[in-house]
Amino acid sequence: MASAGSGDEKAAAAAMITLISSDNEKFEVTEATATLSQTIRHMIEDGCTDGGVPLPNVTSKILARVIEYCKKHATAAAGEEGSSSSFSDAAFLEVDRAFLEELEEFDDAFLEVDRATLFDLILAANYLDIKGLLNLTCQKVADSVKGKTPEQIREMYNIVNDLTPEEEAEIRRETQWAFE
Amino acid sequence: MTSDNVGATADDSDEAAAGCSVDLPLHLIEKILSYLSPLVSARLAVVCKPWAALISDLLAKLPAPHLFVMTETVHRSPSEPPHRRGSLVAVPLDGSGLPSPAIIPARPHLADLLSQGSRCVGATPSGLLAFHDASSNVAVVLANPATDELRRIDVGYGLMHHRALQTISAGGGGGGGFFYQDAVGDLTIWRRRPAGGCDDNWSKLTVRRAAEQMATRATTILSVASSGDGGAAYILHEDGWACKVDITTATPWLLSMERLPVPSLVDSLEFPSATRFCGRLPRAGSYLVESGGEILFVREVLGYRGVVVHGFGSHPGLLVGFEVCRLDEAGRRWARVERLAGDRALFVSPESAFSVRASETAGCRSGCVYFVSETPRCSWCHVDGSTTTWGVYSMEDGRVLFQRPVVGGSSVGRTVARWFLPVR
Repeated sequence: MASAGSGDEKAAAAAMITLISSDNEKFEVTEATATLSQTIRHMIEDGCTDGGVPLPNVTSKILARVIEYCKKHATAAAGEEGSSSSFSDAAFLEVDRAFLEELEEFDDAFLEVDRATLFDLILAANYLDIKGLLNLTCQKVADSVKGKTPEQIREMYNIVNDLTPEEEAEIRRETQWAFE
Repeated sequence: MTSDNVGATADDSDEAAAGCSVDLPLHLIEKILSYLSPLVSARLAVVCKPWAALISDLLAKLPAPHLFVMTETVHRSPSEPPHRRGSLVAVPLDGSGLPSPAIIPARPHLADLLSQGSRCVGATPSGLLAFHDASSNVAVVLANPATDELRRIDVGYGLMHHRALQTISAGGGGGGGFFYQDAVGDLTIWRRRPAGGCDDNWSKLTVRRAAEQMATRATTILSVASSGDGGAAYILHEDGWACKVDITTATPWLLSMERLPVPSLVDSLEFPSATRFCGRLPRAGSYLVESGGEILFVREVLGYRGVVVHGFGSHPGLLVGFEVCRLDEAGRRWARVERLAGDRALFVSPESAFSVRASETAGCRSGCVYFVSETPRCSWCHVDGSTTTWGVYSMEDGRVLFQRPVVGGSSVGRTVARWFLPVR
């Protein structure tokens, strides 16, 4: 987006990229949507996106969700750029705020997924280097961990407690301050 | 975490959940844990070994108050200047023996400054230590021991006098600043100008004495605290009176000190054990601290257990605790505080006193006073040098939880220690 001059904005927006999931499903997206991923942005810059971008680490189910997120947020990014350059009146800011609220609602709804999907989204966001999505999903997991006991967390995430009772006692002693 | 969405079957989620713990690489788990408050994450350290290691690393990165320790070794020959050296000591605030405190010697610029004989005169809440520059004699040097950056501010004439001068430091509304009382007793506030982009752009604000003090000689300032928003400074004088300077006034060139309508702490009945010392508060162990929007007066209480009476005086007292009172401006009084409000802990040392949020500070207990205490050398006992200790007083328990010698100094000569919050 930033790389495209205002003159060929239409041309840049129209440029399509094909993303190929691990199970060989093809997704056509605009360049503006795809470049929310730093990984894909670099590929485009290097000119190696002809014939589609294979993403062997991302299933079609997850890729569909990731694209859904990127589409929404790419529009948001475009809106922001527009607002800073040409509008600054109160009416427009009001529209802006409404849009941000809508975006927040979208994010909340987007995160209403089961644990496995959430973890897959984190992995995909990490692999594709989509900062916003990675922050959003990690925050969601962090929120789910809050207020839980270590036992509950082990159960939730199927984590095996590999600490010996002595080690556990030692850690409890060191973190005693947090329990007071 | 509901799994009633997206049509995932019970089998699906079970299968996936089984893979959960192995699926996320450690750096992503670290990222997730970093979103938690230190208090929450510390409680989760017992989940498993990898989590314990990650959380321990995360907690170690927290900005915990450190001690800046300086020792002065006086040489036998009078022509030789005193040798000063400094170090940063990360003391275990929870009092655990291990890991033993990390002692980091002062880095080159700061070490140079110290070797020239510059004296530490305070610390700002923004992680800077203030020194009187011994080489130029007209400057205050602000040093960041974490980055070894020095900033020299020319304060003008004041230092030419023979009298010991003092800088009293305190936060100046975010941008950083310090308070400076010169030999005549006049107070100036030095603030960094936010605009301009030049780092060394400081402005000097002169503060007029309070009307009550105009007729008399200015009294020594013991401690300064900035209000939470940085808009006002509270100043405690040796005579027990507290004054206020409104910094956000429309006429910054006409700052004046206004004596608060609360009794002098020397006469205050609410505060009986504030040692009355010829109508003055003792210089050591009297602090003003801002904590959660309140201005607190914190006073060291000395006891004389097993009094040793020497020929003409008694053995210096031992620290037995602290008394805290809160400035009640509306009620025109100092009100005793038995427990600190909120999740606060106080750090007090000469010329450097501040409060922190305990849950955001590794190993820190709320409602405690973390102190530095210097027992003066007793000229009657045959003990070399003074002992400088740090420790923790629990207001709730009403007792000193522990008190340890400050390490990183030398066994001979004088050791001084100041609390400061390292900022990178």
